Amino acid sequence: MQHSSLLLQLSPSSGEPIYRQLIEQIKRMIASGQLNAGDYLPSVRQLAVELEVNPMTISKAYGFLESHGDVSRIRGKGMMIAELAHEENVAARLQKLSPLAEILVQQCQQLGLNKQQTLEWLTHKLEKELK
Amino acid sequence: MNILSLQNVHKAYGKFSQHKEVLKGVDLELKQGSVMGLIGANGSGKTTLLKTALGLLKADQGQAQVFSENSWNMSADCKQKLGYVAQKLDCFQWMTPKQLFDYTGAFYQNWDKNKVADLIKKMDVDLKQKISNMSEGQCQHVSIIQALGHSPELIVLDEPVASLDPAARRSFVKELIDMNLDNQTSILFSTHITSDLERVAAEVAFLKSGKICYQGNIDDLKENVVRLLIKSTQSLPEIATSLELTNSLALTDSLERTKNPEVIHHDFKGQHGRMTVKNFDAHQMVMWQKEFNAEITVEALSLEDIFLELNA
Repeated sequence: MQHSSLLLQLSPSSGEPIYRQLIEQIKRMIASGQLNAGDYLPSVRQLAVELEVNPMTISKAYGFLESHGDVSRIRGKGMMIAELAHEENVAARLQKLSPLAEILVQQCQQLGLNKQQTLEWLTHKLEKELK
Repeated sequence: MNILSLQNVHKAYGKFSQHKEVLKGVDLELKQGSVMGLIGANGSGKTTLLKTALGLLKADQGQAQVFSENSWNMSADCKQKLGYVAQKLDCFQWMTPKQLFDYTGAFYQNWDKNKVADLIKKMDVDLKQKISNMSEGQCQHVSIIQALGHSPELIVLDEPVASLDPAARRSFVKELIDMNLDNQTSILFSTHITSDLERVAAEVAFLKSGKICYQGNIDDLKENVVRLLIKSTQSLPEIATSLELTNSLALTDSLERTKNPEVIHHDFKGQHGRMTVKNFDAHQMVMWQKEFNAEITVEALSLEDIFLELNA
């Protein structure tokens, strides 16, 4: 099915290039099952207009995803989420969090928070948001 | 192929004691199908640059070309391929939009009445109101429709969204993207850094002190320049002295010229410091962590941050 719209959120004021923000978000959506194998990404034009982004930026992100096997280009139909992509196991999905975890650890050190305090707070936080 | 090119363009205003050179050797190239944002501080000469490029002003020195023709002596054919939205619509104030569109349309062979009607509807322009009675935003709509009506191959816009509301801006951006995708239309616009129209551009050109100090891909620029936050156990100014760090480098010394990391700017106080670096890599990070005896956090820079660095 063609996705009429993806819930992508870009922050143009971030230092991270927009095409990278797109890649990361789409990858996370695949990992979490919001996008499944066989689903189609919106067309370049559709997404460009929706996000007010240069079409070349979208193409660049799609091209990157294609070259990494996350999506395949189907002639006349667009970009389809690849078979392999959704079969990632929990370990692989957790691995994707590791850059964030590093930032967390670093900031805890800077704030002088120890393991116990951080874990308690984090558990409390997660209990509210996650199943 | 270059749709628009400026080579060593100089432009000055005023005579004798009032003489002021605004453009001091501008080089700029716009390729077919590209969308470029021209960024510069207030009064840096963005409007002068655009007007000189289009032959609305004559360059004192150097060469301005559009579609490989001299801008100042452009052929009629060439003018048919141009669309220009000025900062302010200041002539024909006594006309109504309908009169203005009929009048403008008469000059263009491929004036597309359907497209104009479509734009009028989308932008909700009152055709019967006198232009002089309209708000700035409404005037800007009129000006945009006037410039897009003949589906130009090159669109040049001077602060195009300054007075548009978000909904109007969106439909305008959509129009630009459609034209860019359908006809490979090239687009050059000047903008303030705070406008989020930046994301429509893939390329950016910074105008500073009368020259283009950087022209290139926005993503490359963002990936190339970072800021480091340093927290050391020692006094940083002393280490900086021993490493002979200077602030002499300009961000604009060609980013591609060298692949070695270079410090553009550093600011050290006590055990804390900030450093802006180009061509940064992980290897250098490890070296600096040792040299400064410090924890280093890498911070990505937004276009706005980079702009401020440039004008520091």
